Amino acid sequence: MSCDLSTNVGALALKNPVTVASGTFGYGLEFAEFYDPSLLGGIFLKGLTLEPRAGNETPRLVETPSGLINSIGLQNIGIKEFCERKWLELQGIQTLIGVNISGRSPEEYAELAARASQVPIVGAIEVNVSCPNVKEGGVEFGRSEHHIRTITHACVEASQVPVIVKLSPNVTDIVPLAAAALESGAAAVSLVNTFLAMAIDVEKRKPVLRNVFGGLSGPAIKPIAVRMVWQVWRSLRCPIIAMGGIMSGTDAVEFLLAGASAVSVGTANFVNPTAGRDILRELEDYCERHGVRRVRELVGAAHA
Amino acid sequence: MKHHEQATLVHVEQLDATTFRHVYAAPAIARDAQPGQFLHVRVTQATAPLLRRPISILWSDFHEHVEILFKVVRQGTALLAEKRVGERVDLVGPLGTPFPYDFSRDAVCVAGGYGIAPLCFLARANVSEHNRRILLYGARTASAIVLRPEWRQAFDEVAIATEDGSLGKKGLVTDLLRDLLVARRSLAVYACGPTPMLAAVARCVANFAEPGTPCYVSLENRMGCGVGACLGCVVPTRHGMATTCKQGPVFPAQEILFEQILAETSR
Ligand SMILES: Cc1cc2nc3c(=O)[nH]c(=O)nc-3n(C[C@H](O)[C@H](O)[C@H](O)COP(=O)(O)OP(=O)(O)OC[C@H]3O[C@@H](n4cnc5c(N)ncnc54)[C@H](O)[C@@H]3O)c2cc1C
Ligand SMILES: Cc1cc2nc3c(=O)[nH]c(=O)nc-3n(C[C@H](O)[C@H](O)[C@H](O)COP(=O)(O)O)c2cc1C
Ligand code: FES
Repeated sequence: MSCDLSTNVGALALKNPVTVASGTFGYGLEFAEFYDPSLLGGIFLKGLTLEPRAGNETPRLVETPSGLINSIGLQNIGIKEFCERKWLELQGIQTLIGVNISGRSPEEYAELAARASQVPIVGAIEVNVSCPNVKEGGVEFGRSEHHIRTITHACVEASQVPVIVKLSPNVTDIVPLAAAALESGAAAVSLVNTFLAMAIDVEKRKPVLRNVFGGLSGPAIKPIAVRMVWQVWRSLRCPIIAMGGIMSGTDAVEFLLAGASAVSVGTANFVNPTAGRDILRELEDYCERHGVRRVRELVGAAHA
Repeated sequence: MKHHEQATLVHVEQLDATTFRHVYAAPAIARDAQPGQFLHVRVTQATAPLLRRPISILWSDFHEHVEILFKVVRQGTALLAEKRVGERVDLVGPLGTPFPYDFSRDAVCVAGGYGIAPLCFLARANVSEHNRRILLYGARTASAIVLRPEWRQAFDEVAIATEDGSLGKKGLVTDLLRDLLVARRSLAVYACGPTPMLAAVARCVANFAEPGTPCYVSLENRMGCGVGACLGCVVPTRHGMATTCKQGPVFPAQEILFEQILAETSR
C-alpha cells in the first residue's frame, strides 16, 4: 500500500506536505546538486523587498543549544531583479513556488504581491509580517491585528495567486492574529517565524550579533511552535503551513497531528543538505508503518 | 560538484596537544576536491552542536581519500577530535571557490596557523618544473608550526617567522613577504590565515609588489548552510556583499574591504 501524500492548503494543492522555508533555501537552486527540488511539495524563496537590500552587518549568525540565531536583515536581490531575471532559472522546477515578501507599508506589500504574482512560475505569495531583523515594519506589523488586516487585504486584492500570511510567534496570543489574516482573505497562515533572541559573548562582554537581536530557529523552538499550531487549529480549523525546528519525518508528523496541512523545513537544510528529501521519505515510512492511506488523515488528528 | 557523503575515518594523527589530521575515505568528494575548497563537517548526529563546521581540505588523492588538519577550539572541533578510526563522519563538500593557480609565476604561499592546510594542497597538487613554490609560514611560537616532511617537499623554499623568535625569523610573516616582494619579480601570492594577517598581506602586496601581481586570500567566516542559501557568511567587497561559502572562501585580495571587516570585528 502506498500513501497518498497530496494535501490541500486552502486553495493550494500540494503534491506532498513537505516544503522548504523562506530564507533557508536561497532562491530555490542552492541545494539542487544534492537532490531534485521538484520532489518537494513547495519551495518558499528568500524574502524579497521592493529595493535590493544589503542586510545587516556581521556577525549575522550565532549557534545556540539546538538552535541558531540569525540577523540576516532581509538581504535580497529586490523584486525587479527577481521578476526580470532570477525567475527564469527556476522554470525547470516542477512544484509550488512561493514568493515571500516584506514591505514597509500596505502599499509596498500590495505592489510586491502584484509584481511577484505576475511571474508565471509563482504559485503563492507568502506575506512576511514577522521579520524580527528589520527596523521598519517587520515584526511590528505582525503584532497588530489591524495591520495584519490591512496588509492581508491589500495583498489579496493585488495578487493573482493565493496569499499566505506568515505570522510572528513573538506575541502573547497568536490566535486572533491568525483569525485577522484569514478573515481578510488569506488562503492560509504560516506558523511560525523565528523567536526574538540574543546571545552574549562572555569573553568580550558584548552581544554576539552586530544587530544585538536576531531570530531563533531550529529544534530548540519546536515545542513552542507545535503549541502555537495546536492553538490556531483548535480555535480556527484553518489551513496552516507549520515550521519550527523540523529535522525529521516524525517532527513533520507532529506538526500535522497538531493541525498543519503542510510543513516547512528551515534550519535543517543547513545541517543536512538533503533534509527536504529525507523528511519526505521518513514521512512516507511513517504512513506505511501506521497504515495511513492519505496523509490528510493526519491533519489535526491529535485533537480527536 | 558538491557531495554529501558518509565518509569513513581511516587515519588519525595528533600533531600536537590540539592539532589533528584526519584522513577520510570519501571517494566522491576526493575526486572533485580542489585546493582552497573546504568540507562542511557534521560533528554529531545530535542537535547540539547543531551546525556543521567548515574545515579546509588539506589533501586529496583525487580518487578515494581526503585529508583535513584542524585545531580543537571548542565543542564542535573537540567532538571531531574524539572520532576514532573506522567511525562514519558526515561530510559535505567540496565547497567554495578554489585558488586560481598561475604556473607562469612563482607561487608565494603565505600561511598563518592552520591556514597552512589549503596552501599545502595547492603546492602539492601543482608541483612542476615551470615555477617555484615558496612557503612563508608564520606563527606565534615554534610549537605552533606544523610542517610534515611530505608537505615541505612540495616547496622549493620555506621561510618561517615566529613572533617570539623561537624558530626562523623573529617577527611577522608579512616581514618575510615584504622582503620577497621587494627582491623578486613575477610572483603570485596565495594566503590563508587569520583575517588580520590576510589584511596585512593584502596591504603588503599593494605597497611592495610589482604592479599586476595576483594575490588571492582565503577568508574565514561563521557559516550556516555552506552553499550560499542563508546569507549568513557574507563579507563586504567592492561589488557588495559576497558569500564566503560560495563566492569565496578564496577571493582576489583587492576586492575585499578589509578595513570594514577589521572595524566590524574590533567593535
Ligand atoms: C573556509 C574555512 C576554512 C577553515 N579551515 C579550517 C582548517 O583547515 N582547520 C581548522 O582547524 N579550522 C578551520 N576553520 C575554522 C573552523 O571552522 C573553526 O575553528 C570551527 O568551526 C570551530 O568550531 P568549535 O565548535 O570548536 O568552536 P565554537 O566557537 O564553539 O563554534 C561556534 C560557532 O562558531 C563557528 N566558528 C568558530 N570559530 C570559527 C572560525 N574561526 N571560522 C569560522 N567559523 C567559526 C563555528 O563553526 C560554530 O558555528 C575554517 C573556517 C572556515 C570558514
Ligand atoms: C537564516 C534564516 C533566514 C530566514 N529568512 C526568512 C525570510 O527572508 N522570510 C521569512 O519569512 N522567514 C525567514 N526565516 C524564517 C524561516 O523561514 C522559518 O520560519 C524559521 O526559521 C523556523 O523554522 P526552522 O526552525 O525550521 O528554521 C529565516 C530563517 C533563517 C534561519
Ligand atoms: S553559509 Fe549560508 S550563505 Fe554562506
